[in-house]
Amino acid sequence: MRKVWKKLRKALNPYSVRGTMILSFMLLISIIVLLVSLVSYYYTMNDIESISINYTVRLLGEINASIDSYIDNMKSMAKVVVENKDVRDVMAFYNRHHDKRLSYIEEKELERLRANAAAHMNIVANTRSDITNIAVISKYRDVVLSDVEKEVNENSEFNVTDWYLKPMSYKDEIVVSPSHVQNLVSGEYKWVISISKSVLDPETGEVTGVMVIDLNYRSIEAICENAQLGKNGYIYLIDRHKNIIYHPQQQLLYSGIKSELVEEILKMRDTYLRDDVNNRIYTRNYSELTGWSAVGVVNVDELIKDKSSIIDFYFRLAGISILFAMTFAVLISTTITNPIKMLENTMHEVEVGNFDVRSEIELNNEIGHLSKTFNVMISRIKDLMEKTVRDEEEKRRSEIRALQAQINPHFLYNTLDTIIWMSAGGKNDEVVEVTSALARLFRTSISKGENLVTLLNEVENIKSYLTIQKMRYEDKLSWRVDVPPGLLGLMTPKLILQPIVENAVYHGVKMSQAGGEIAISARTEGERLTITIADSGVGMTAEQLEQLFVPRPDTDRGIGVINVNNRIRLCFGEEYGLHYFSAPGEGTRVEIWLPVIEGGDEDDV
Amino acid sequence: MMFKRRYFLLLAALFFCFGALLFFFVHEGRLLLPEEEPAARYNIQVIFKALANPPDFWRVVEQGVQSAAAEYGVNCEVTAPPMEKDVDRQIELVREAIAKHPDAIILAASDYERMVPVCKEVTDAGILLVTVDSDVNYDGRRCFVGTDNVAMGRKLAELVDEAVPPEQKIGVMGHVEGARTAVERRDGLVDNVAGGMERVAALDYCDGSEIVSRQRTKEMLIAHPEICCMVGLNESSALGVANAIRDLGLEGKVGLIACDSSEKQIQFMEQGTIQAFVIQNPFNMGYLSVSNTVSILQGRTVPEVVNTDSVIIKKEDLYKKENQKLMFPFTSVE
Repeated sequence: MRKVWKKLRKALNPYSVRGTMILSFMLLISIIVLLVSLVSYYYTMNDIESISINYTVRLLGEINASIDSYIDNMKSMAKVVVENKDVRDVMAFYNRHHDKRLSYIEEKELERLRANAAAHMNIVANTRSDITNIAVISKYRDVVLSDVEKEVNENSEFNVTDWYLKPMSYKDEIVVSPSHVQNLVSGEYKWVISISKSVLDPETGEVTGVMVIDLNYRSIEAICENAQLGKNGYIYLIDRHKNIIYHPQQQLLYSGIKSELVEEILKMRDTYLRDDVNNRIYTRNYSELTGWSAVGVVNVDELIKDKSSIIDFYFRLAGISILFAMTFAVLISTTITNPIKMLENTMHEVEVGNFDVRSEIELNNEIGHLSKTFNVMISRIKDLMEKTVRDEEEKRRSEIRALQAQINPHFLYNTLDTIIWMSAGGKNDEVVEVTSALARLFRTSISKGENLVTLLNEVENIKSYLTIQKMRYEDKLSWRVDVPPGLLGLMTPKLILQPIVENAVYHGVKMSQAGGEIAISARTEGERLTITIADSGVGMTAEQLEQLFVPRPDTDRGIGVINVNNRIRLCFGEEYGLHYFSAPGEGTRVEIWLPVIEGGDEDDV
Repeated sequence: MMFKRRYFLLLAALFFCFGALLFFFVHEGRLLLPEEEPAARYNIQVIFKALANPPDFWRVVEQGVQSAAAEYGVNCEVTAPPMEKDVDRQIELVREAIAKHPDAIILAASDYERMVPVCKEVTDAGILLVTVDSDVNYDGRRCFVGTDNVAMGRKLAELVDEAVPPEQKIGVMGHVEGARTAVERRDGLVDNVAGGMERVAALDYCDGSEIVSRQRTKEMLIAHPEICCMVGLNESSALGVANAIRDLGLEGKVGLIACDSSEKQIQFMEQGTIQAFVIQNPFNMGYLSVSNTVSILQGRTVPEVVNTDSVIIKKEDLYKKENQKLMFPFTSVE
């Protein structure tokens, strides 16, 4: 567990590119997944809803069609009844004999007519189980029932009802009356729908009475209940006058336990109405024939039966997407940042001094380029460092050689010979001078190991050297050192004068029959210090000058000069070094070019 | 540190996203969970005071019961003693019901006091007890669904005062002496009618029988010729009174104010024998007794007393649409 946590923290470390990348990817993908799944969820929901609304509308259309054809049937049946001769006859009879006392024969005639009409009506009534009763009623309220067994309710006030009055005034119309309690038959109080039509006199065409067919709800209920609108969905019928014709819970509505939308439905203009309180959708289909509206009620939650599975689906989809996204975020980030990490590791190696490592990333992208550049850089640095080491070694070697050259055994025993010879000659003063010069020469040569010494040190060194040589060559050699005191504090590489002066002594002055003079001077020109060593010796030909800087391993000659030149250039660069000016018979002038370097202390004086 | 803050913002945003996603789905999901358990089919034993026929009243109550039973998907078994006064038979019926181990028993108590011990047996057996129409004097019943009978009596008094002047005497025919409904309606009537108890020339009970009522009313009217208006405290008693008035040829001389409506009573009203009804709503009574019982079984709280309305119907507005709806139970197929 702790390991996992540690790993997680490492992966999400805000101070790493990888962590930031993973986090950003996850955030971005999560937001997108969230949005997409929300949008698709609502879209799916809407889709399902509109599909089921369409379905309901179609269903209601079919129901209305069924009801229309049912009512149509009933109307034709009504026509059949009113066209019947017996029915017309009995009504005509009542009409004619209104308010008259009937004779015995007339009574018998009436009895016969009534029986015939009732028989006809009964046949029609018995064809269908949804007809509770058929009756004809004359203008003067004489009633003939289809069922001769039943009695007329003498107290029924049918003469004020719509189903009786309307056909009286509109003789051609077939009137469909909405739900009401029919009390025409004694002892029966049934909720019915009445279809009524005027009965006309066969001869005059006058209205003689009204025929009424009472329908129970069997057929309408069957039509409405056959339609499936889910477990809690249902269908009800309303007419134009806000009456409920049929409702599966009609009694609950009548007794006030439940209520149903009626006015809102009649007012609605859309194809559907949403009741957000009960989460229901009402759809309506209007029938021109009956003037009734079939209303379908669908429970929204139920309508989307698969809502839970849809939610489940989207939830899982979102979960899986995010999981995938995370895995990919980690993978992609790792792929991108791994080379960087590798490069970083390589750099660490270099940091601790290993210049032999090379970044082995071979990618053709920015990081690949970076890696290549890095490799080039490292190899350059390595070269430079090797060069520095080489140069440094070279300098050391040169100095040692210069030292070796100076402590030349020949020079030493020549000098010692000179001292022996002088002390044999009793020249004590000269012995002291040469010996102290020799001591000073060595002291100034063996400095404390610094590369650079003061010009003063060099001048002291060369003065000692020349003092010794003067003892050997006496009149043949004269010398002069003319360095302005202001320049004595400047710094020079050590032992650069002695090899050149030695050259001047051995190859310039010594070769000349007349001897010669060695003059040493120094000046500054801007940032350059120039030390000049001039001799009035034999001088050099142009070939000799050319050969001067070519090393010749067979002889020591010239080594000192090359050594000095190399050392100066190693220390200060190519623009410094030795410059020879010479011609045969005209002596040689050597200029040592050095940068002006102000010295630290002049205590060495 | 700027960086660190941004990092935490990022993390917070991430968690917010997950939270929002989770919340959304859980929320949407919860809407779906059926709020009412798809009803383990409860078994409810319903015991009325009298068989459905002849009194229409109990037939309509039963319609309400069955309508609710169908809607809530419960089984309701309806039984009743043959006669309203048969308290012993009802006690037996309750015991038989207990033996069937129903989830609940809905009882219309024949007697306010005498039914108490057997009601205790019901609750002791861990069965829910709800009373309908007639209450019982027992705290253990969880709910009573019925007419506010005192208010009903007050309405009767109102109608009496409208029908006859205050100096004229009245006679009262009750159904069962001791039955809660009879006591409360009588009290509501007597307390509110002009003149109070003085006004009542005679008071008798018919044991819930139409025949007995008819006989006793005749005796009452002969013994008290000063009675100008009769009051029948329930359907059977009112029918007996109406028959007695017709038998004695007193239509138009003695008025009748009745309780409840039945087809026979309506016929009497159409003929003019009955001037007005105070009708209860038996359908609602039956329906609400079952719906409240189901609510209790599902663990919801319901009021201890659920009153159904009583409504005055006079002859002239017998066929008004809204009254039709109250008086004639809607049944599509007989």
